[in-house]
Amino acid sequence: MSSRVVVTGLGIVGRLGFEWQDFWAALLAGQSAIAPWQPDNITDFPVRYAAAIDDAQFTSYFAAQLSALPPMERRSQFGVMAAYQAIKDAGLSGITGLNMGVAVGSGIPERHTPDMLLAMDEDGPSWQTLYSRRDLLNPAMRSGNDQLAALIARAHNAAGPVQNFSTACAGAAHAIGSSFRMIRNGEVDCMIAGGADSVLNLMTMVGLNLLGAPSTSDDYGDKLCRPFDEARSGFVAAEGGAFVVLESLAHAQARNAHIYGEIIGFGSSMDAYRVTAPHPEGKGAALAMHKALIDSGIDSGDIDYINAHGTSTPLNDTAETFAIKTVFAKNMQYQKLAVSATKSQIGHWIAAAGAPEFITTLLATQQGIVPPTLNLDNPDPLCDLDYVPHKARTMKINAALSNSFGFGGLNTSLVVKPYKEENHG
Amino acid sequence: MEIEKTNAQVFIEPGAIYCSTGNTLDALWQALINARQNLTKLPCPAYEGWPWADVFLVEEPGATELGVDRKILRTMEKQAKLALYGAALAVQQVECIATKAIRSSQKGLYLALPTVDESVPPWSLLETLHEVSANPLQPEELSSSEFLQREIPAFFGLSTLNSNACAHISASFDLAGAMGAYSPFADAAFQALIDAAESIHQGENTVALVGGVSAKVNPQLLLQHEFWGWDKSPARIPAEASSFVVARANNIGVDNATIKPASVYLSGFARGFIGNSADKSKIYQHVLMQALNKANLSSADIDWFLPYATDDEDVSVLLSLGAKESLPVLTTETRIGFAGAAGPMINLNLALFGLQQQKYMYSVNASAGTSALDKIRIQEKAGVMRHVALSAAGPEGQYVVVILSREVV
Repeated sequence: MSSRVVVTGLGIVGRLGFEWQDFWAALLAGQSAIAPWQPDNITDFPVRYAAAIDDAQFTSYFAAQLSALPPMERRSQFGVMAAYQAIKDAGLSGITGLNMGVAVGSGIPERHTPDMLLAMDEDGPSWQTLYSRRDLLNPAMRSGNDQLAALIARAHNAAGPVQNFSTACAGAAHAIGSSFRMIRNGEVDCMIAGGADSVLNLMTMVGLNLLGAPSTSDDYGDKLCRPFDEARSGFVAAEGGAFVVLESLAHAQARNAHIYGEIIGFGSSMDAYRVTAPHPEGKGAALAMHKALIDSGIDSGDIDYINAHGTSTPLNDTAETFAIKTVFAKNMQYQKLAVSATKSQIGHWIAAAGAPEFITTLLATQQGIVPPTLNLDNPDPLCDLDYVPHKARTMKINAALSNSFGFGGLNTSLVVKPYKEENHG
Repeated sequence: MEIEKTNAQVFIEPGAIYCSTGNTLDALWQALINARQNLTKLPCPAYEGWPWADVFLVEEPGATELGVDRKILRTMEKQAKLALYGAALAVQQVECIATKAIRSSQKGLYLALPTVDESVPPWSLLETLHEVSANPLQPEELSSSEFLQREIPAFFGLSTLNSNACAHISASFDLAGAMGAYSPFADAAFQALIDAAESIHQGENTVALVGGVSAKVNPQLLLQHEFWGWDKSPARIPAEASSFVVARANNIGVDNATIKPASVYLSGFARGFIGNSADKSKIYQHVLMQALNKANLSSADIDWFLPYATDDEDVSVLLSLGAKESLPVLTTETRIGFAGAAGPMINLNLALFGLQQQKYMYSVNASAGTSALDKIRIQEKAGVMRHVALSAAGPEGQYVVVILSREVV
């Protein structure tokens, strides 16, 4: 049995908005979510920009829903609210059953200063002191990082598969890809899939900075995230949650659901290279795209748009460009591709990144308009594709790819196309 | 690259175990029968207040065992080392994952991992803060970038990322195929197995290494055990372990006499979620039936059942669905400890060993409950076996069942 899989609900919680319509309008308008940032009480932290969610706005917007939630991390709150938005958008509120599941991409638990100091007493750090204050500790550190997936499943009475992916920056894309496969294979009718993450806490950002991953430049202000530009200097961290509702076409049609588009392929791969750097020729990235295309049953020439992983790091952007040119080498197809990097506008949502970028790809194919790559003033000579610089572009899209590549060379690629009733999978 | 979708079965081969009984399946099998518990006294005063004086530890593999440069060790916590070591043992053991005759793009990896080894910051950082701060309870140093960059280990960002283990295994053994990493508890192991089998079924992998690894025993682990009420259960004594199997297409398209056909395949699987304890029996029943239906079996066909991290109720439900009254049931947690995501993989290796050897083990008096461990014995018996069911549960409510079947020659 092989079912067509359609997307019927979208939910996004990020700095550019708490409704997908606001997020999408901001992308098309070329807005940036990136702003000055410092962790906790620090004023001289080397990473000076991020795309943080305004807590006051968030808690005010979702006040009614948040008051009913058990204690959880901020990132999980973003995720629960994004899933709630997606379910509401799909018109699935109150519809429950054995054939609905949840898949989430999650990252490292948040580690804020107060959590760290729970173990401290006057004689030094003590585990006994930490135990005695355990009720104050971040819940994910106590329960486990599948808390978000379970919360969403419980809130919507989902009794099907509940998965939690840990594939770094490919986590949410993995969750969407796995959900697609489970529906296509007939294991389940409906999945709530996506991710939520925040690395904007002291310990995680110090750890990332010591690896040299985020940009510490002060030169470009809110234009710091510059995928494919010669002056790019590292990723710009962000936070948020994004979820989609995926259904078998038959399930969606049976309840007259609005369909945003169709997901037709998923591929994953590993670089088998180094833990600290992507393969310089994008070997793993190319393989993920290749596998996704084969899985979808379409030819590389059918792809018109790629939503790139595009992190604005020196290594990723050249490797990804190389990979795209490898996969689309036939008749130099890469020359006709539009490629854009949503991270130039929203920053890097880390484990959740694949979800807002998948939604962006889906809306681009549905509406025939590609959001831009911001801040691409001087393209790196090694990055020589059409990256849709500065302004959104109207174009017909037959099918599109959304790339997500995780730290250590864990790669995914998803293929979407506009929904047409006459499509046959 | 060719990808050919196939309706053929996906075969599972025993790979490796690394747990308190050592690193061979035979040693584990004998230890279970002989009721030998290889417990280790908790190592330092930080564990004062733990409900257990002894736990199931394993030695931390070094650079030599892992086959990596010593510098690489700085990027790994113990859980990543256990994962890499388990993978190395499996690669030595199973020719079809090691062979160069299969391209690396067709060799996948599916791994079940804990959240992170220690979520709280490095203990050494807190100790330094206590030494140098004028007010260690509210240390100003935590507002100093210079202090933090100096005192936090250079590779902290890598070593606390659980998926880092995948990168190490992929790079060490040239696995570039489709992959997945799941966390944090026992159910994740069978999520990994099912998705690995599906990747082979789809044709995107020819073989896949599938494994699970436990958290390392560390003082913070008690917080998690206490949160889930496991500190009250003698069947939840923390254990360190990793375990792997190899999933493969039977016709791997390679002319290599050393790669023998496999005989045990994944015939059925299903996964569900218990969001409300009132629904537990219903979900157990639904998932068990779904797995049996996928395998074209009835519950009476099951010859051996190995539940992991579940309760007695899934055994009761299986019996109520018509399983044999004499169905042998094995629970290993009481003998080798609670090894999280590694546990179901250990059981899977035992099931594969049993199917190959046509013998099984069963817990006697298991229905006495986990509070009467001293009454539980494990016995071995030879017998014709074709179908083995295994289950695994996550504490949030995930419930996964897989069924292995042996080909009749």
